[in-house]
Amino acid sequence: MAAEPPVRIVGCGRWSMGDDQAGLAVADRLRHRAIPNVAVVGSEAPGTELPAGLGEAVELLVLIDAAVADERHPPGTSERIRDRGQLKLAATGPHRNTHSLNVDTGLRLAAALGTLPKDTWIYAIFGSNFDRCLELSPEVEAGIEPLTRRIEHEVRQWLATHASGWRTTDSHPGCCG
Amino acid sequence: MKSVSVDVKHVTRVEGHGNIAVKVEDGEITKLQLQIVESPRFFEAFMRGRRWHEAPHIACRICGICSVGHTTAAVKALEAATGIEVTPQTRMLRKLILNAEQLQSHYLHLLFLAIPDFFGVGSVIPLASTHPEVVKTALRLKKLANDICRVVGGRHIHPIAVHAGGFTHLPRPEELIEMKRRLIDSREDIAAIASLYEHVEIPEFTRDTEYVSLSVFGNSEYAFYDGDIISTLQPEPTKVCDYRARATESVVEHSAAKHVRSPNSESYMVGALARFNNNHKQLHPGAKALAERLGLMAICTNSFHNNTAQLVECVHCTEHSIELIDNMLTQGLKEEPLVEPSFFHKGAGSTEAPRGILFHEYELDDDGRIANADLIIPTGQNLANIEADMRAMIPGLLESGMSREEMTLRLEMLVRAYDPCISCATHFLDIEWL
Repeated sequence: MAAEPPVRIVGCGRWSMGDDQAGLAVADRLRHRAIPNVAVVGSEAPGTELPAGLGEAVELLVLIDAAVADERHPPGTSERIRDRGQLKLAATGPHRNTHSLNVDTGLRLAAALGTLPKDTWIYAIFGSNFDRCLELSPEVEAGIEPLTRRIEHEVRQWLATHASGWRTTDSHPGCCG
Repeated sequence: MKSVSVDVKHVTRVEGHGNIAVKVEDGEITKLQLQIVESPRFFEAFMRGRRWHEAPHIACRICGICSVGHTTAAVKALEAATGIEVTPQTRMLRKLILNAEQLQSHYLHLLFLAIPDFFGVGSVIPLASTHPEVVKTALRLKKLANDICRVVGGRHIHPIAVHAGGFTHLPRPEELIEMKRRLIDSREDIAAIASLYEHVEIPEFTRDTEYVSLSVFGNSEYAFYDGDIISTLQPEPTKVCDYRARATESVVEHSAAKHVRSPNSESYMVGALARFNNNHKQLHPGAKALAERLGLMAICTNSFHNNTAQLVECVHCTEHSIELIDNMLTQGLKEEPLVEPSFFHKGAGSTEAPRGILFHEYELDDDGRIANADLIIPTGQNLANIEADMRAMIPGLLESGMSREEMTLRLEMLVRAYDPCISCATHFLDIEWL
């Protein structure tokens, strides 16, 4: 079995819920970039799939998820969230019901299991339409490529400064969507 | 005599939103309600006028947990309404994805929602710190079941490859080989979970009720996909097209989901325990052995053992899935065109969803558009039985000297044991508030 790459990128969302698919769409593009030492996957059930996919070899976890746009964050813009507290998800933990088995649950489970890497980056891409819909809104569609490029650049930079201990591997195709 | 009131808003670690309201005055139960407070969702109404082939893809949105069950019941109903006969390959693939859904739903319930009760914690998060191996095993099993759904259905929920008349996408041989390898590996994980459940304390409680499920006659198959309707009180089989003779819905004031009764009882139970009670002889030998080890014997009348029956079914579904994959690999999967309809009429279909027997019926007009739809959901069928269980249980809880908090937890555990899918149950069309 191939060695687990040290970087794992997880795009989260639902393909059928409009702009909620933005994280999946960015992950899909990153997967086609074939960055060595990086596994890219998409997940529509990150509450359980995110911690399930985190092995001990993962040193950098990159999460990409859609967020609701507001005055400061217009549709199509994106932001790297430095403080997980910004997510304001703590009130909806898994103690409520299955609908709250979300990204936050996945992060908390991974943290409790001790598999959440110290380097965990969360990128939010802001959207406006989260209704049942197969298309991204035009603003978010336009924001997919810039965020893809930014993440690729920042991951490659991280790899360049942390690469000493690894055997270089091909990109890990994972599964997206 | 005691007076006590219980007011739980909302019951936690279930799918959807429901409350428990109980009032006991001088030892007499004056109020007992499992209140379903989630808004009705009107699926039967907004499917009217849609093209026949759209129904499975709309109906499966009723639920993110049992979307394969809804898809399967819908395609079977539409095939009955259009004269479509599917191929053996389609039947095998449907059975495999249905098994996978049983696994993912049962694992979610047993290992994420129910198990915290037995460890005295509020959720799976603290369990991840105290029992990391249990949670890692749970995550591994859940991911495997999700991945099988994805490989067969094209997505892990709301499958896009499953259609009336066949499949529009087939799993590749290498994907099937990988799924089989992981299913074989999962035997060890299931054994570990079984060892854990062997030592949990299932509350003592029994109440005679009717257990309703599908059952297959004439071969050895444990009924999930095929079968007629039977029950412990009425074992003579009823064809699925006559399901209304076995399930009568009614609106109750305190619930946004309908209650359902049978011709034999005011309430009945569906789900893993009902299937076990009716069809235990058709379980895989490994599942039978686990049932014996866990002390589960038919006819079991302790609703808390629905959890045990779910675990037993996990063994069965794992072994049956391995057999199905072996058959597919031996015979080879080939592209098949979707079978086209011969006519547009009316038809009913049923399947065993994880939480029990599920009925879909569609009436089509001459152009193949949906004129009427009727969906009867497992959790709706269980609601009256849950209330009957609570009514029977409360006197014993009062006599035992339990505190109000302990009683509340025990009632919540009972509701959770049914693994209710409340979002599914609130799909209905007619509201006639009394």
